[in-house]
Amino acid sequence: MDSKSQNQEMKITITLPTSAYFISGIRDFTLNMVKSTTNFEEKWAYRFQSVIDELCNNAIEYGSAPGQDIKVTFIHSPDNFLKIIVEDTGTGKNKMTAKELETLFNERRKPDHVFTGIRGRGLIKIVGEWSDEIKFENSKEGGIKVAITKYLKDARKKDDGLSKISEQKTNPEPIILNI
Amino acid sequence: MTDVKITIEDTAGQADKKVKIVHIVGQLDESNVDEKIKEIYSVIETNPQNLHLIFDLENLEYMNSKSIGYLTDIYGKLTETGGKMAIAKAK
Repeated sequence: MDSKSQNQEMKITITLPTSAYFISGIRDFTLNMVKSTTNFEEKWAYRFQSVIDELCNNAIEYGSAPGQDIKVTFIHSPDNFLKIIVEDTGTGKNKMTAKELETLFNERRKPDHVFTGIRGRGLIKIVGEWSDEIKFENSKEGGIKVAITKYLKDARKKDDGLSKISEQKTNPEPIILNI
Repeated sequence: MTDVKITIEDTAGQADKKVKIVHIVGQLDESNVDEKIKEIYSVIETNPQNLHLIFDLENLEYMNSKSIGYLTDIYGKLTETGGKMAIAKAK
C-alpha cells in the first residue's frame, strides 16, 4: 500500500444474514483488521471484537427478523478514529425506535443501576465503556443504526511514533462484502 | 456454531465440600452459550450444597456478555448454598 492510500480513510461494509453463526467470522475480521491496519494498541483489537459482537447480537436478536440481514460498517480514519456502525432492518421481535433505545441505554448507564440476571450488560458495560461516542439513529429502511466511535489519541500503540496527520479524503472507495 | 468444549474435573476436595475444576476451551458466544452452560448447571443441580467450582479459562479465547452474566448467576447459586467460585487464568 503506498503512503498516499495509507492516509486515506478506509470504509468497509459487510452484510450478514440474521444468524449468530456468522458473528465469529466478524469478530475474527475485526480483530485482524484492527491489528493490521490501525495504530490502536493490541488490547483495543480485542475490545473492538467484543464491541462488534455485542452490537451484532443485539441487531440479530431484536432488530432484524430471521431471513433478513444486518449491515456492519467500519470507518477507519488513520491516526484519528475508528467508527463501527451496525444497522438492522427493523423487522425483529422488539420493534424500538432509536430514541427509545437511547433512553434505555442512558437509564442503564446511571451509576445506581444494578444489573441483575444474565442479560443486559453488553450495550452498557462493553459497548458504552469502550467507545468515546455512541449514536442511535433511525435508518431509512425502518431499522436502527448504532454508531460508535473510538478516538486513537488515548489508545495508540505505545511504540509507534506520532504519525503525520495528513489530509483525509472524504470520499473513499468503499469495500462491500456480501456474505 | 462456534466451537467450545467444557470438561469438568473432580479434585480431592474435603469431606464437607466438593471442589471441581471447569475447563472451558474455545469460544463462548451467542451461538453456543445457552446450550453449553447447561453442562455446568447440571453439575450444580447434582451437587446442591457446598460445591466449589474453579473455572479454568486459560484456553477460553472469547466470551460474550451473556457468558459473564451466566458466571454471575452461577456465583450466586454457589454462594447461596455454601459454595464458592474462582476464576483462573482468564485472558
